[in-house]
Amino acid sequence: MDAQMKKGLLEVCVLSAIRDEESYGYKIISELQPYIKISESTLYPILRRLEAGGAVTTRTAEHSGRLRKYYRITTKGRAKIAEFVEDMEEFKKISAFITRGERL
Amino acid sequence: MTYQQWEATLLNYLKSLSKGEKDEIVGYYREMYDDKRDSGFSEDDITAAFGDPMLAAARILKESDEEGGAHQGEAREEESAPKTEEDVKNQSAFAKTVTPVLNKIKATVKETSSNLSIAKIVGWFFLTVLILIPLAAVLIGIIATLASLAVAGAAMAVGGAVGALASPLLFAFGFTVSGVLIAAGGALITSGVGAVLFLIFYYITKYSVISTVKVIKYSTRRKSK
Repeated sequence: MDAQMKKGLLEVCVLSAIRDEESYGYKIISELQPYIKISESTLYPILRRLEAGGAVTTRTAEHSGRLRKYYRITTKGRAKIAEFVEDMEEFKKISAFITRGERL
Repeated sequence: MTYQQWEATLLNYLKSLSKGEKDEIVGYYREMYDDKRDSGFSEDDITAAFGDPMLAAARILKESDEEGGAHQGEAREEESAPKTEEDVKNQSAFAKTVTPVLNKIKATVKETSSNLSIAKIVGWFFLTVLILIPLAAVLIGIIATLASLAVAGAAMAVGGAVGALASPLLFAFGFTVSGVLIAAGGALITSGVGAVLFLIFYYITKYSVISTVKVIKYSTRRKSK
């Protein structure tokens, strides 16, 4: 996929991975595997950006004798997903035009 | 490479970050490493998946830069830096010396005071008023003195030559032959000494300027990756 397009999708993908319940780094990457390939080094800045923007909150808890950071979606994060879904409706029209030359 | 090596390299590139930020990053990668080990990946697989630690550091730094609102500073720096080889050639020698110094100052100030604009202002003040301006004044003073000594030498050379050439005129003033010869000889000596002085100080001045430029360029060179 085109790099620019991918960039725009990554944040919403990560948010979607934690939409129903909080999750942690490795689990998020594994869940997204079938949909979009993302490396650990790409994920970190995204999580930071989401947290800085208030779309995600974090907490650190102990798990099997180690520390694990959990990421939870906020209302702002859900709003971001909703905005994306709206954009997708618009995108579908554009996509139809591009692939099949369908006109409104 | 081993995870320890990977992490150490990463931290090496993140020296400009606070301890808190570095601890957070280390925590993230260690957690990821442990989880992947539990899932059966080898250490080499994991560091390969993490990618080049330098690139990882670059992405992290870019992110914290944008958070700190230093975007404007970056844009300004990009504008003033020469973009092509032609630009570099077209810059005068003065601009070539001054620009890297200014960029280096901007970069240093930005790095050390990433989120505080007050710290930036104070940093700029101390750097320019208390250090740069006096330093520049001293350098300019020294070079001007050397240059004026060269000019004095030149003046002696010219004055002496004129005197030597004009010495026959002294006959008109009733000087004896030996008197004229002494006068002519004195003038020639002055001229000779002047010429030597001029040459000496011309080269001293030129060398001083060149070596000052070299020292500035060396101290503001981009550190190799």
